Amino acid sequence: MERIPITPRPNYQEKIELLGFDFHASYWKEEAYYHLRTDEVDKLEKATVQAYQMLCEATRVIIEERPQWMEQVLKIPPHICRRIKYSWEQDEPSLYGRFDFIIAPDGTPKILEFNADTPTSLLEASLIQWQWKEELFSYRDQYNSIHEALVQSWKDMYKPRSSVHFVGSLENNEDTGTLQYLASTAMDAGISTRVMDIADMNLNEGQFYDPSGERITDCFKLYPWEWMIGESEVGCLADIHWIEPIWKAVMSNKAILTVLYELFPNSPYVLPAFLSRPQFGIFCKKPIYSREGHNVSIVEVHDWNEKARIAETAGDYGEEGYVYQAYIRPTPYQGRYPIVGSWVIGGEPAGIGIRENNNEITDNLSEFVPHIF
Amino acid sequence: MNKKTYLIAAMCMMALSGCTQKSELPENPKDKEEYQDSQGNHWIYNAMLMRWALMPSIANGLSTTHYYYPGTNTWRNAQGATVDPPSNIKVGTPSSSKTKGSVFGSTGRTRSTNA
Repeated sequence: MERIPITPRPNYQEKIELLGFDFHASYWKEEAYYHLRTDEVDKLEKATVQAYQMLCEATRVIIEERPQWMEQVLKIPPHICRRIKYSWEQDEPSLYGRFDFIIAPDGTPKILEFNADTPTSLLEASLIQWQWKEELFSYRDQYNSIHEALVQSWKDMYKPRSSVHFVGSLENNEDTGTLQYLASTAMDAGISTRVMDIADMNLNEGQFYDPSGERITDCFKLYPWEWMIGESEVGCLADIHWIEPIWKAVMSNKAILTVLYELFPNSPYVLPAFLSRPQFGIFCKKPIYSREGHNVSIVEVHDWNEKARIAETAGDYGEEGYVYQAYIRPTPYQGRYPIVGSWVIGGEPAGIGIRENNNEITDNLSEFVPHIF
Repeated sequence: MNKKTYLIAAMCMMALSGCTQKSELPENPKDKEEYQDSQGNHWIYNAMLMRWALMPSIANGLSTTHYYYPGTNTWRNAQGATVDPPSNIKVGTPSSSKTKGSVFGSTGRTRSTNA
């Protein structure tokens, strides 16, 4: 993988905003791109397939064999745990998720985490970087079939003329943009869509209704399960099909990384991870529930005493506890640290988006950098 | 009934009423809002964590702070473990266990979903 500086397209801001990417700010600058070799793309695709299979198995083990783990570690109330089990047994379909891989010095992708519930950076990974590639490198390829996979996945889940509501916090521009993009992919699949704020969903007698009074039977929500569980247990138990399904609450936290390591300690893609502080080593310490790289630190542990090598990032997460994941020093590319976001759509790998940072912890100040191969 | 029997009966009644009387917590509390319920319990709300801290006292018989999460109607101890509600505390219907109207969206106003 190589990072290559490039001159941004003239008026690129207008071009990407035309596609609905109006929340780019300093996150998309197109001052560089990554050039991957074909074998590197193959390696990422293979890693994504295996990583998702392993994560599904870890989820199955937790839900079917260790239900108490959900209560004790994830602090999920018993009623919700039963609903999760039902959702898993019914095989309620999932649309998408995104692995964050760090590339080890030998080229092996290592799983940092899986964003199973509300992965963002979708529009830029799908349409925006493709538009960039088509304009500048039409003769090259890009590991990106995200859009087609989303449309196909909707077709697999719903018959034409079905109705799906799309909800989230519309006060947030990025969430609104992501919801509108996802709704457009569902429309491409022949589905009738409505985008609305999640606060406008009205619960009545165990069913949800939109402001026009129409019953919401199927709902894509860009709103984390842990927040929904915290806000309304009754709402989580209502008669509605959620996308992502509630079993994703088990898959979308950092604690599952410890089960993944327990089940697959010899996988080349899995980093050792622990729920309690190990005796020795260097670790990335991250909250069980955390977003945008909040409350993450790099710590050195000696005889169970830890010392920060990179101080904890700001945030208010960590109440439910932390995960210690073996630290792997990222390879700098021209002084930047890339993380590869590898998309799983409809259970299959569908492409990548690369974000990079000036420091080793990817946060909400990272930049999206397009790629070709 | 002698005085001793009366006192025991009165104490039992007071304890019983303590079991059955509900603490009607404020519906839309502000961060750090303090509340004294009719049983003399002292509560402090944490808006970020969306929970009430019930302070230990002789009246409620607790020796450590317990936390009540109205969103899930659950209790946790200081270590974060889920625990049974304190035996003499019964919390009235909280706003977040309502079965009608808007129930989601409050966390999203203060945090980002980005993952």
